[in-house]
Amino acid sequence: MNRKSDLADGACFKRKRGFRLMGLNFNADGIVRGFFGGNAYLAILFLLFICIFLFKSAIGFIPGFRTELSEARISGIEAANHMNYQLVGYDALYTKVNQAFINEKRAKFGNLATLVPIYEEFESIIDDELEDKVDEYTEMDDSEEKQAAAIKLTTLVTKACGEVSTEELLKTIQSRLPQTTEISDNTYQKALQYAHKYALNDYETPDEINEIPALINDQMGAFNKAMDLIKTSDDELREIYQEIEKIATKTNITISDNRKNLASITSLKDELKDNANDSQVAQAIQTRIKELEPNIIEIDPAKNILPIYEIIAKHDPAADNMVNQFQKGINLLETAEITTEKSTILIHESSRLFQELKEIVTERKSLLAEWKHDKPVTMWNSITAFFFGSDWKTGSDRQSLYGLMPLFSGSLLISLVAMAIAVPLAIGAAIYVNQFANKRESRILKPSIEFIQTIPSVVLGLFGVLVVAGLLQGMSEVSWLSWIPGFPIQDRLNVLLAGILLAFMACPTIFTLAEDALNNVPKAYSEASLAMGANKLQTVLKIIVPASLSGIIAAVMLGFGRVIGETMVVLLVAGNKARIPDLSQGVGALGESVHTMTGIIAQEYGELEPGVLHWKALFMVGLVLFLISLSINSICQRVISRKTS
Amino acid sequence: MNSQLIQLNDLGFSYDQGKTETIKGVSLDIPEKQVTAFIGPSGCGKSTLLRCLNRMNDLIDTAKITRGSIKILGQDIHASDVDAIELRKHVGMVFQKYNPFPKSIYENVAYGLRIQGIKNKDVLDEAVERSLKGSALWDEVKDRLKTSALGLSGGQQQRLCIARTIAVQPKVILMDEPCSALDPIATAKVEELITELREQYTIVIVTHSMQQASRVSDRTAFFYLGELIEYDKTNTIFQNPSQKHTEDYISGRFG
Ligand SMILES: Nc1ncnc2c1ncn2[C@@H]1O[C@H](COP(=O)(O)OP(=O)(O)O)[C@@H](O)[C@H]1O
Ligand SMILES: [Mg+2]
Repeated sequence: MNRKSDLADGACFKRKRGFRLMGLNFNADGIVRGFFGGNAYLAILFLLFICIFLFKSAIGFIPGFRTELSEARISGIEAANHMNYQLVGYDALYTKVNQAFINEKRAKFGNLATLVPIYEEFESIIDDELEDKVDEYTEMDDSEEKQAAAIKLTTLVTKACGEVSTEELLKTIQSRLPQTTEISDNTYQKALQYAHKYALNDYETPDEINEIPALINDQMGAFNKAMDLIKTSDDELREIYQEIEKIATKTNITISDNRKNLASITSLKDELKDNANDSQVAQAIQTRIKELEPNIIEIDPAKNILPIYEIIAKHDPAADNMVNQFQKGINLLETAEITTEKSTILIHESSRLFQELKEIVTERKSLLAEWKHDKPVTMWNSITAFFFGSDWKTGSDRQSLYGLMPLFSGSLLISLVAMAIAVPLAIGAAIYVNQFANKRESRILKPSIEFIQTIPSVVLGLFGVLVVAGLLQGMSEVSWLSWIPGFPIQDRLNVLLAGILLAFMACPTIFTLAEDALNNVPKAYSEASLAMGANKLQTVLKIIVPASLSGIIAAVMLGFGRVIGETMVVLLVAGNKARIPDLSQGVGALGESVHTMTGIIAQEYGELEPGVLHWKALFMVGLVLFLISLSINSICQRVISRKTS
Repeated sequence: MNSQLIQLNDLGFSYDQGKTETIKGVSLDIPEKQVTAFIGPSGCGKSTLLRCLNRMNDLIDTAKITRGSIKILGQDIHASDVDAIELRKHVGMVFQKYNPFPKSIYENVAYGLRIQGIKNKDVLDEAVERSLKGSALWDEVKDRLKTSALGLSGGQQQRLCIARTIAVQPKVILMDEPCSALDPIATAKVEELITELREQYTIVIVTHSMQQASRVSDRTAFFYLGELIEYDKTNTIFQNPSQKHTEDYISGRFG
């Protein structure tokens, strides 16, 4: 048969024969289709695997956490925590007040407060070297020589005084102590005078120096008394806390050991059943069980539980006492003379923190009043303790707390700061490059901005720690910048720093996508607008940006997704303190160290044994992160598809 | 006042800094409140010339007027104290492919006024209604002013573009093949509209359709390779052209 006749009978339309394998028909088309399709569907498979993997690893966290929570409750750890919570609040507050105290002391007395140690050093140096020099000096009679020696001597004395020059010492003494008028500010004379006295073996620390401590004490009187009150106000509460903690920790360890031992015994018993006919193995297992059984220690209510209630009964008076005594201190502080702005601010903040402490105490008092060691912990309690828990505390031998809030709020705050910086920057740049720049400029700008994306995040993080952190802190302490809210910043590594660096990372993503969106606006629109007599800016703001808005929003969302999922940079620069930033202080909260959801996983994962509760908790965090990213992405897709439809 | 609203004097234009001229010394006067048609084969520079009139060519970096001048209302539009943006407020333009903004019908028409800083709602309402009536679109869209302009038919969109242009009451309306993307019925409507607008506006229209030129225009200019070959009353051009070239083109012997 030749081709012509094939054509004639239409056989050429027939499907070309492929080959058969395992009952399936293969042909080139199908194979190509299968290959490309397979690649595409691999993505879905991968996504599915991640989902399954995350869920599988995270599962069991909630019940496990529930067990730990109920053990903490039965043993009384929970009650101890209620008390500790107040003490933590007290500590934060005390730090603030103490800062004010130190600041005030420094402001009032300046170098004077540091004079005493300097003089002590002076004397010790003088002992070694000065003696010889003074001898030389007294033996000289040529006046020129004497002058030269005097200068040498002075230098030595000045050096002996340490950082503060003799002149400065004298000036300070004079200005602070007007009664000691006979001090001349002639450096030579004074130095020589001391040197002389020393040489004549009747050198003594000047009276004015000896008076300093008393003077400080006198002038800081009210503040001092306040500090004394404040310093001791927590003693009683701390004491009963330590008492309850000791008992509760012991019980807690017993209970969790019991649980572990019981679990071992149960599994051994199962093994025993399986090996019932092999008497030798059975014997061995029996022995193991026998060994383990005595390890199980009964909880004796009279010894382990009742004392807790006794201590709790002492709590309220102790806590009230702390509040009252502190209140007295605060009252005294308000009467004390405050000389600097900084101290005023610190004292003001202390008063605010004190109000918070009072609230904490009231809250914990009522929690303790209701507290019962045998109230069951429900699954729901365990869920809320994870999602809304305000503490992430792990790794100590006390009860571990896995509260998502500090991590979540840290991640969120950093991301918001990053977006607040990146969005205007990146979109402004996109508008500029797309609408205003000439070809040469955009040929340079576009690749440069996109190049930022290729900087490894660990490099960016190190740059942040080593360079930007110092710059930022230095800048925040410059006095003429102090009007900026939140300056000076509290921690070297903080939300703002992380936000700035992440903004840097998000910029290229947002820029590229926003520039694309702007570019997709038909030229006919801007042409029409310009032909109406609109200027460039009006055209950009009224026509081009609105026309590309959905694309820009999608760009911003994807940028956000990138930021909230970023790990390395935040791990390096966020400061890694798992605590909820104190938003009540306003912008100042941006100067705090925080921890993030991504950072905590990266930081803690490596040290853990797979399967322990802490490990599972990290997977829960990962799961939450994954769901957040997923929802951001699907919102983006919806925004984009709304535009195209 | 001079009835010659637009005066071109030996105008030369180049897209490439003067290396080659796309418009080669065109002189012509366009009278007020008449429709003037530019015809000629593709690529002969009709659109280019039209876009010289509202200085849209300024947007091209390498574009340059090589010689001659354009005066509108006696003012040289390339004089140093003339602002192209102000000029375009008085010389409106309708494009070949209808291009309403992706906004509501109302906002499309109000756009020209808004960019001039007019915010008063009554003024805007009034102008929108007047312009839509002026472009014979009012009855069709008055109940859906707030809906997207992109939902209108092609012919309606082009008439909306005309409404948008007349909303700011320009002196001149430039139209670059305004019907080339429309079907015959929509074309007829736009042509009808042009005839009506003639009462109030000076219109310059580029068209590739001989019939359209003869139907709507008072005067016709025939271009070839960037040069003005013939310019006269439309009747004269179509019935009794003085140039052989023009006759050949009109009768369809080339083009
Ligand atoms: N933006 C531009 N840059 C460079 N050359 C152009 C541009 N627009 C048009 N031209 C050239 O100018 C000549 C005239 O074009 P045009 O005015 O559009 O012709 P017409 O509208 O008569 O068909 C053509 O050769 C075209 O290729
Ligand atoms: Mg054209």
